[in-house]
Amino acid sequence: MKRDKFMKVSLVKSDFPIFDEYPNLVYLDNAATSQKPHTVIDAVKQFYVKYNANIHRGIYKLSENATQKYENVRSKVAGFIGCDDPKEIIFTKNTNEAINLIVYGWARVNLKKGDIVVLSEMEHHANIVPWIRLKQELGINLYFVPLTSDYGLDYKKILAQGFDLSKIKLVSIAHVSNVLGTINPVSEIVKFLKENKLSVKVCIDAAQSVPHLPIDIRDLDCDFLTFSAHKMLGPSGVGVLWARLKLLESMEPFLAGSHMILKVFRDNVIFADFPDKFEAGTANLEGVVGFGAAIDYLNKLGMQNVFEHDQTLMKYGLQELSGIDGLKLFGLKEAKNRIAIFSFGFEGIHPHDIAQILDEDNIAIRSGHHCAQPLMDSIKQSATARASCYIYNSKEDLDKLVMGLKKVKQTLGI
Amino acid sequence: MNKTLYREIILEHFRNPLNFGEILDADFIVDEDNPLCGDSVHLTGKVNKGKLTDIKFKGEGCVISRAAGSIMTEYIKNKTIKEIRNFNQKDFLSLIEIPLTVTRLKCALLPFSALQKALK
Ligand SMILES: Cc1ncc(COP(=O)(O)O)c(C=O)c1O
Repeated sequence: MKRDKFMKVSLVKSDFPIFDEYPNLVYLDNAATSQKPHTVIDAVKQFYVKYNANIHRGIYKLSENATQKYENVRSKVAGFIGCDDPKEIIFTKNTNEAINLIVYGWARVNLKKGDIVVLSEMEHHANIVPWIRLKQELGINLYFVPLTSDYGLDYKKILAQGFDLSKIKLVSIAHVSNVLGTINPVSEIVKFLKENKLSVKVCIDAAQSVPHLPIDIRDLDCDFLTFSAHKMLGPSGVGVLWARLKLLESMEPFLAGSHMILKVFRDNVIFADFPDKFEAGTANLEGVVGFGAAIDYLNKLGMQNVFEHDQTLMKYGLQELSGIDGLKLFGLKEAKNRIAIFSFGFEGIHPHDIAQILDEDNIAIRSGHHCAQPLMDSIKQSATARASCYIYNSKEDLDKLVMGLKKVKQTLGI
Repeated sequence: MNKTLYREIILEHFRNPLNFGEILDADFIVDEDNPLCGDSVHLTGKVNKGKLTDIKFKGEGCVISRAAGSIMTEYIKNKTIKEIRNFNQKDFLSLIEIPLTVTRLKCALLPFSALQKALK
């Protein structure tokens, strides 16, 4: 890739105060959470300094301003994913809560015993465990789409399972795998479902895609989309559910209480219209406002540039890691349809030791099952080591990772 | 940072663990695992006249849990069950002498937890 297309990492990096605090930090655990730029930290602080009041129903100026700040971010989020109507954006605590809202607000009301929900073997626990609970409660069935030999989804297999295809009501899958880095072809899958006359809803866990790829829900053509602010430069404690208007109309609240009502009687309640209906209680106001600053930051960089930066690191990382003797990579070896998330291991070495030895040189990676135990089972590993990149990472960071891995091999004598 | 975690002595126990394997005609067999990281340990032993005459361990694990298994089994072998009952977590940790973070403590304790299970 040409140099001029490559974002000026040094400039980006100077926006992140954590790297002033720890100049030697090589942070490669971005799939878990991202670092935060000044602008986001300042926005959170400024909210407390200038705007702090509870939102909605406040008659005084301060509360009105706070409400406006909060609602502005709803519009920003909508714009960021190509959604025309901010009413379709529901703020949650994180992706987990957004998926639970779909499970309890939509699926629990609309599915019945014997219906099938299709998941995949590469799902995060966030997109598995709530479905298992619903299965236990309603007696629905779950089908897990298996992996292809090159770590993609063998989704066409659903036609050959012998089950009644009209029972499939929902397909809920990750856009990008947090372990393998695979980008699943969402719009192709939606097209495939339509061509086969499957009238199903499609839910996309976009926790790992919204931070790295330009996302447009009109292109994806899905029905639900979920993601978390903290993986895309924003504060923790803020997540998003986007759903089509029609679906939101048919959904029950997941949490009930204050703020989500129109009128409360002693023995009855009329819910507010959405989005309020799905946002019970006082929200993470400063977090949402900080999330707005994160979106501004990403928009300024341009998501196409963010993606190209990722692809440059992805290609470089694949090339360099494949040069390490004995390293086994779990993910597409070809430099396409994947992002710069690298899961790997060495025979006979526990990933915890890899992570710990790298930490001696301030290289932060993750090791473990990455909240994807069914996937670990599919790839026959109890754990993997995982390095994942973001906008402030450079090729030099990957060089340090490679050097660190050589040290791991040397230390442990393999 | 943790410069001393992978000391040569620990690495030596990892590469060439003592008492590694399985006793086929064992008097006790216990399994213990750490769901956090998928480590597991399989402990087998022989007891004669109140004395632990042989002990072996095997399993999948990190450097810490394997070195801890090696050091611990070597230490308790040929001790009486009474002595082994008095061997507490603190003794165990001072024996293995590894500076541990909270997460790694669980790795180190795996063989010790298996031993506690066996003593029950
Ligand atoms: C693919 C995927 N889904 C869901 C989640 C859960 O995100 P959160 O912890 O913000 O709810 C994660 C993050 O760990 C993820 O990578």
